[in-house]
Amino acid sequence: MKQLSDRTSALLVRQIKNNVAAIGRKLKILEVCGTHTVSIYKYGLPAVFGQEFEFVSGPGCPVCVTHQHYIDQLIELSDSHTIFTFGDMLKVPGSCSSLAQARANGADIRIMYSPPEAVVQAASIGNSLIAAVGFETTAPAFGLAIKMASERKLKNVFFVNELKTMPAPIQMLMANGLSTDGILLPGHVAAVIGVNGFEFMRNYQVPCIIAGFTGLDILISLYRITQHLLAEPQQGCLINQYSRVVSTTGNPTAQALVAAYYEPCDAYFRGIGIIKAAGLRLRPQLQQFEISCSYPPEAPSQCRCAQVITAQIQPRQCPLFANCCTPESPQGPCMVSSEGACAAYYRYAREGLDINENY
Amino acid sequence: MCVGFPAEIISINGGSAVIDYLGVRKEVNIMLLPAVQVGDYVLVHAGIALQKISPSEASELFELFKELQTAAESPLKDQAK
Ligand code: SF4
Repeated sequence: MKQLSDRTSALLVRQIKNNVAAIGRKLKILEVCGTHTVSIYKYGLPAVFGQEFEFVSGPGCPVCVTHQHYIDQLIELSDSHTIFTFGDMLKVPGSCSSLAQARANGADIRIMYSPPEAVVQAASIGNSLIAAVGFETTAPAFGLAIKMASERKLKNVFFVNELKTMPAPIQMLMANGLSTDGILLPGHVAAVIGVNGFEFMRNYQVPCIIAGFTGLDILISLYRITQHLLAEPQQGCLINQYSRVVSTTGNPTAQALVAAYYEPCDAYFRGIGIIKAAGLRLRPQLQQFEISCSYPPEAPSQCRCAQVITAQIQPRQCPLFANCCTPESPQGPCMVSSEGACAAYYRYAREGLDINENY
Repeated sequence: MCVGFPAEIISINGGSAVIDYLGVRKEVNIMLLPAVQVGDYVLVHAGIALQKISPSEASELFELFKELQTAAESPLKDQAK
């Protein structure tokens, strides 16, 4: 298997380069998922394909698109509540502090591995808050958590929701005239919403590939994009490269659960603003479990994350990148999250090709 | 944050299962995959089994490999552009 993979990778790289040469221009590839960002840099693909591709990012890292005030609000609430959060959120800077700093100052902030597990723990302590952050992949886990809290009629467990969905921000990027030659769609979001959930991508004249996350998955996806551009340059397409995990319908049980407990709402994306129908909030009959967060205008900042996550610039084009903004002292969320474009670029971009590991 | 990992179901107990991920045993919630069985591979995210993984990966790769070899052997007619 490994040998097959190595040989396949080498052949793929060669064939992709041939295809791009035949197409005759450098191609701009958009990925929308933080995990894809990391894979692309980790496998050194920007270096391998320096002549062939420019890789740009979309707003698909949940940590990167969370408003500063969400962090501020959690910190404020940590005076009176135990906070359960995914570990990725700890170091994200709010307007003057972070959850990690609040914890160092004595707040009871716990890292959750799984939202239902957090509900079980929270039930036996005082007032607790669960920070619900994520896209469609994560929403079902919070669906199970709220189901549990409501069935047990818990009075001391609350959710601060920042759940988001993928179609609306992608539609926004496209409506704003994003020019791209190919889009890698997030494989694990698709595992839940199915190929059907991305059918709307057929409206655009660009090849869209639901992609897995290994170096080989990404190479195959790039290969499919170039094959399509050679064969039918005027038309879009929707290809499921990740069929070992993604089915046409996704996970209907998970979709039904999320629909039973949540309804669509407008959502705030850091650096971008409100995107219509891009979020999920608890249904009205469950409102006693929700603490809602308000979003004042963001403080002005030199951080250019907004342009990084709307495919306009590469991290290195931000003047703060690797100067005062590093993973040790991040100035913006894209450098904090291990799946942020700036952090991935910082960590891997200077390393060479290593596409043979990790099959 | 949105990444899941593949794991094998080792035993099932009601709505939860013990999984094996590279030798590490963990309990996960399987309520969203009602038909899952011992021996199945699943995608796990945030402590929840989200999707069954089909074992066809190897054969998919093999198909691709054949396609690539054919491509490599045929002359690159569009190359001159
Ligand atoms: S390098 Fe830092 S400051 Fe610049 S866009 Fe990225 S996170 Fe923001």
